Amino acid sequence: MQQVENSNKSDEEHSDDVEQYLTFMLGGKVYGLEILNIKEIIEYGEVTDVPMMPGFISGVINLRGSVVPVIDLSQRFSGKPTEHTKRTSIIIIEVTNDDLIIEVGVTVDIVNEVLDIHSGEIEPAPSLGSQIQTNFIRGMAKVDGKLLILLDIENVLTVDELSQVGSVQIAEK
Amino acid sequence: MALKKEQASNKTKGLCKLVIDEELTIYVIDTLKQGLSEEIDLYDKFELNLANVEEVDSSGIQLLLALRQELMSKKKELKLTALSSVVAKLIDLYGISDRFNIGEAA
Amino acid sequence: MSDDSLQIFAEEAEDLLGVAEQALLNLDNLDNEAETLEGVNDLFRTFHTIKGAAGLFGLDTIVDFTHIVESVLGNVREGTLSVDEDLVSLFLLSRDHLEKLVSNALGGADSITGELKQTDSQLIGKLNHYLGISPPDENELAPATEGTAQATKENIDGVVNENWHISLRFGPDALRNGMDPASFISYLNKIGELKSVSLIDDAIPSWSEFDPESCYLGFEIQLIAPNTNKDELEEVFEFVKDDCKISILPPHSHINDYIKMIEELPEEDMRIGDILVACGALTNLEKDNMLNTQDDFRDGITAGGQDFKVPQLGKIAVEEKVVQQEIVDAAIKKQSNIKQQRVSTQQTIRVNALKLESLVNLVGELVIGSANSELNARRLADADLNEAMENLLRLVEEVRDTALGLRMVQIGETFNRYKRVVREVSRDTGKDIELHISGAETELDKTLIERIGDPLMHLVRNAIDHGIEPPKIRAEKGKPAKGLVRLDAFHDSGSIVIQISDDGGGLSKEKILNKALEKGLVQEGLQLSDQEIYRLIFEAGFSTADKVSNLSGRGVGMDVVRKNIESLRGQVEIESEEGKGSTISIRLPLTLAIIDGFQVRVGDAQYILPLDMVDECIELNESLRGGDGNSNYINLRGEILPFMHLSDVFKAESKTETSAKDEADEKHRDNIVVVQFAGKKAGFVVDELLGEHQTVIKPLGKIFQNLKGISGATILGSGEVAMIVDIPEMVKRVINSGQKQFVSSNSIH
Repeated sequence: MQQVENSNKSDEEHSDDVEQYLTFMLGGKVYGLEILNIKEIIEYGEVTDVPMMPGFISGVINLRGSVVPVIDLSQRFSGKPTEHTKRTSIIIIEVTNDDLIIEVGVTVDIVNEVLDIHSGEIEPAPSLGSQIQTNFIRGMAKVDGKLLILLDIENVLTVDELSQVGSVQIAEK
Repeated sequence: MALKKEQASNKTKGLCKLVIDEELTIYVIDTLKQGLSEEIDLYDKFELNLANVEEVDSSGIQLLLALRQELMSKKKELKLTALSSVVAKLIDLYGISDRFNIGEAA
Repeated sequence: MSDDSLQIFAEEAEDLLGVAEQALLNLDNLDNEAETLEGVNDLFRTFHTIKGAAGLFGLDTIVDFTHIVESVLGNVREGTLSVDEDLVSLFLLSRDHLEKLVSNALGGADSITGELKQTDSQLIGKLNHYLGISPPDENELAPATEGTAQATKENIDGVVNENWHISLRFGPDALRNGMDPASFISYLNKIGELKSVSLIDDAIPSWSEFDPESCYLGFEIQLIAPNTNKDELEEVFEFVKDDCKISILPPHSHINDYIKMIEELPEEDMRIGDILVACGALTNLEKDNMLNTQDDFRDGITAGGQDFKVPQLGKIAVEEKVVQQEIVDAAIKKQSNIKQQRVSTQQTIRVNALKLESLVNLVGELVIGSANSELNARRLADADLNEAMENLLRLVEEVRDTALGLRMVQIGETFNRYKRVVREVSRDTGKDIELHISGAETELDKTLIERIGDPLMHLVRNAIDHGIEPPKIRAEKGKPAKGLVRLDAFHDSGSIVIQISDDGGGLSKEKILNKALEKGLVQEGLQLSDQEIYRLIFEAGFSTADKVSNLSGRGVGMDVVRKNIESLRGQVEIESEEGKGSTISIRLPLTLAIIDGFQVRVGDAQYILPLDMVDECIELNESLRGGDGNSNYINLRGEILPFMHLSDVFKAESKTETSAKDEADEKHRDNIVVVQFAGKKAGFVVDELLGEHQTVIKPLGKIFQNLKGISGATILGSGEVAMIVDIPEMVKRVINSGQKQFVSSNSIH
């Protein structure tokens, strides 16, 4: 079940504001995530598989004593799993769901820099031809001649959606 | 000796007759207790004749109370067969006459 | 008035009100005079204590209200008023009202208004009626019982006794120092007249310990000396005051002075009270009042009791009166019960729930940290270090158990709440129902108890409302008029089971099926097992109550109950026999935050199986395999054990990567871990058995909430994450898939 969000919301709320975005590479494209929700960035390390979950849920990691789920963003978007290199990183994000704040990690290929982006620079996402579901995208921005896809992290990681996938029954042997 | 055992005491009957002479005070109280200790386990019934007690003090009364308590706990009997007037007076002052079985010697 | 102390008052009041409620509910056998009187005495004491505490805090409304309740209770004790069901109900309502008054006061309100005030006036009116005090505008007679209520209040201030009371406890060296009690007492006889002398020889030890030169004597003396003053009397004991404890109470002393004296005396309060009554120092009523006013929360035996020989009740009774041995034995038993109760209630302290939670979390980290240290220590292969680590781990385990134990609460407290419900619903529905409770000492984690309370309540109400038939119908069926509802709790292999049974009409499969068809919950012609039919009552919108009562049967109850229980990872099962009754069993996991786990390896991953559900580990010997050699069951000492490869379950959907380990594993004999849940056994084939592991449960989070088969995760000493297997779910799977292989259905359990 898709949630359709009105991406004009951000325009109304911060009409002339500057927001900071962390940019990263994923499958050759550049994406940006609002840093407000980002807790930390860690190297891709031991991810323990959680059985019977769909492929885009890589598993869980031990983050200083907490068990945190990790999502393979590439697989979530395109179905192709991330190829792990030395530069593969996990971005730990705080997501709010039903008044509960939960931590989720997302795997990305390369983490770049933090950019300031004026809300005025953000254009709505194109409705066609996009590999990614449009409600994942908050908007597009052009920075230094490069096209930046700004993600709406709440939609990428709606807990409801993710959790529904877990109730898959295993096939009888 | 302040504590005497009468010849009539007889093991088979289980009755021990004792007499306390002259003093029932703190000065002889230790000896009296020892003497009593020797007899307590040997008999089931005890008769105490206090007719000749000339001097008594609270430690004496206390000894009687302790003896009574001990015998009661062992389900043994204690009877005071005679009281001298000083003993009777003190028992009266303390209001404890109903605690003792005061009666005739067997 | 600090918030803190008001908070403490509220907490103590809450405890006392809880005690009062139980006492009131126990007044169900009003024919038993002795029992009823005892209950009334307890109630009197409880309300009196609340009144006193409220008075300290200046909570006038509470003081006034409690005073009236106390007065009515006082009349009952004196025998001028008899207690019946209506009065008990009034007391219950009053108790409830008092509860509201306390929270009102806690909220900072100085006075009461609105609905609270209305209830207050109403109840006071009803209570006064029992005191013979009519409301001002009624023309009913107001007999002298009002005067009694007033007089009772006054008497509580000064005692009736117009004589001096002197209490003496001579010290051990008195006689040695040449002080003889006799001389002092005789002297008293010169100053006034000795009305009575009571010698207290309670302190005389057993013969062997008795030192005849020491003094063990005490006295309680009543002296008629109207024209003396305290100083004169004290002078009498001037020389012995270092070797004697002296209390001198003038005539008409304030009751508090007597209380103080009683408390300070080494003998038991009840005993001293009786002596004081016997010698005329106190009237019986005064003695009762005093004993009730004492602080319930101090050491109930004696003030300095530990060092003094506490007299045996039996000994005293036999001395003072001729009493039969059985009665004495019963009295001793009662005293020791009271003692036990008091001792246990005092050994609890209140703890802030958040602090407890932090402690448990820290203990969890401690467990993981020590596991980590142990791993590192093993690598060094130092014998001394290993031994030290072993000791350390053992201690950590003990700390763990103790800390977790702090969160365990007896379910009896929750069960007791239902007594009230049963009572009220019985009255409302006109049924006669008794509630039996067993397993009250069974302990659950505090959070579980909080969440199971409401579902249980609903089930109990259901049993009463729909289960138990009206007395007439029961009689027709030849059942005893009194219906029985039973609550039971016990542990069973890693779960806690709570059962609610009733001997009512049982569930009618026909009725249920028909209703379900009507509501479209099932299709026609479907063959359903008994269990499946019973389960229909948990479906939303289902209710076979012919008319909706205001208690249950609204159709929103049972499905919520089931959801609640399932959210606790529990299960509900129903057993029923039409005409005979039903039993609902709720099975909950003992969700301790740290459990004993059994670590295994499946492929590359580590898993933990909760140890309390693990029965044994065996090698999968091909010769034990049943059926045609390809089946998934083995012969376990004559029992059929279905099994499954955990690797099949857990690898099914993830990336299929075969590693060298897999191939090596293929060559080894498989290990089967045999587990048990709810009486059903199953086997899981794993690659390697790794032994016991103290498992700190780390929840997986909402994302995984629908994941079946895994109940959580944990962090191993190495820092790796291991999954914790949900054994109940897996057992269910094994059995379900195994069932399809068998021809006969009775071969499983």
